[in-house]
Amino acid sequence: MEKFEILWNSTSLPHFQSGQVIMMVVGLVLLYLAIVKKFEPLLLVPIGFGALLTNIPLAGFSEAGGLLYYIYHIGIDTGVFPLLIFMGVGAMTDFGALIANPRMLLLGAAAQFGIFATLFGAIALNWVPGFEFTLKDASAIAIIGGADGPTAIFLASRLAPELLGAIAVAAYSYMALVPIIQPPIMKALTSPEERKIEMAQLRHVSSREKIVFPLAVLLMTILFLPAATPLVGMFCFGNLMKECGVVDRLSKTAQNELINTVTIFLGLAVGSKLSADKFLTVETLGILGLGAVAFGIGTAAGVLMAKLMGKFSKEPINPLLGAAGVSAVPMAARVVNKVGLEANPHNFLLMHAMGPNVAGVLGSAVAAGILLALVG
Amino acid sequence: MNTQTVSSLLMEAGSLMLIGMLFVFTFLGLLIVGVRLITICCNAFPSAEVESTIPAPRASASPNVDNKVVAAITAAIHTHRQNNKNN
Repeated sequence: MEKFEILWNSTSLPHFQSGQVIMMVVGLVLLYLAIVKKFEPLLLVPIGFGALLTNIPLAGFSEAGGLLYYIYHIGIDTGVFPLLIFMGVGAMTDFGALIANPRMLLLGAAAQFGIFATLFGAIALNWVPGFEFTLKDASAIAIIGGADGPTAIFLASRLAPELLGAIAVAAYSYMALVPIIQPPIMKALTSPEERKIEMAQLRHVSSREKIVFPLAVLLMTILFLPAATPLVGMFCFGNLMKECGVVDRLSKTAQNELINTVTIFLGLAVGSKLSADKFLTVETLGILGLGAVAFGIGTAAGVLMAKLMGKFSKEPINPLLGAAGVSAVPMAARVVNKVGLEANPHNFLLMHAMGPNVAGVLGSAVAAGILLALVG
Repeated sequence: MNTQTVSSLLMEAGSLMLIGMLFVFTFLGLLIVGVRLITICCNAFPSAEVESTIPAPRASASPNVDNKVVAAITAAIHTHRQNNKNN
């Protein structure tokens, strides 16, 4: 009989807690969204699976000595993984459209209003009993509005590691939901005539301009916002490797093998933070709600800024472009293109939208640097 | 959380919002100036860089040329070369 008891205790059945079961279901939902609905599968598959692994009783994946524990500490606690991803993103980014029309940087700046408005909103949630967000928590939550996964994870790992799981899941879920969240806001704020506006053809950008650009961005960050240099520095490094044309092998590795490898571990490590005690809280609900608001406000601010710029500009500016100011590259630009085509089947905005889109990446990195410098 | 702390946090969040947006706009605004300067410099000192002089690949044999004709011409050239070599 004693032997039976030992055997029974060595199975996970008597050790399952309800929280673990619920979190495993959350993991399965993430896997479902990734595999069936194709929502950011590259991230949600490892995150969902990480959530399954970390909630296995007795296996101790996320306790000292466990695999996910080490992956988390090596990659996310130190901030290394999100920075490596940022390098890969830099190596994939073409700044040509932005250099050809640098005014689009203002749209990338305006869309960051989503971040700061959400910061305000997260603190205001403290009126509701059950919420106790500090300024650091609120900043980490607000960065979801930057619509940039690695930036959100980097900032959360610095400012509010205990909220990281919820923040990362919210950030990536909403990035997948960009095609659903953005169009109604874009249509509500623009008239059909405005959506039909066609943009002038972009000029050709020489490769020398593209090489100098990342160096100039880095120089400005060094001078004015050193707190953002980890993010901007890695991003510019990746971009320089791509544009300089003499290290194609490194650039290819950064944008393929390396970013893929890091994505696997980053996803697993984020998934390991989806444990019941951290995730099944009222704060997670607040984070998910605030994330959606952040996206919405960012989109609206971008569109309104584009309308404002259109009033003062000699060349017409299609206000839809503002929506691409939230980063979410290249999803937001594609959404702009799609909504533009609905209004005017001959209006291809994709290339024009890539300008504010990459400006949004820079903008959210700058915003993250500001939050790190002022709150961190 | 008591009302007073929340109010003071809200004040702080509000000032962060103002300062943050101001800084983001200033930074990216300066970057606009930077990009324009880069463009002006690059135009002032055009590089030896040959911009897209690689000719577009010429369309190989237009599709309406009959294969037999091509074969005949090839054969003709071949014999011509052979003859030249013999001479």
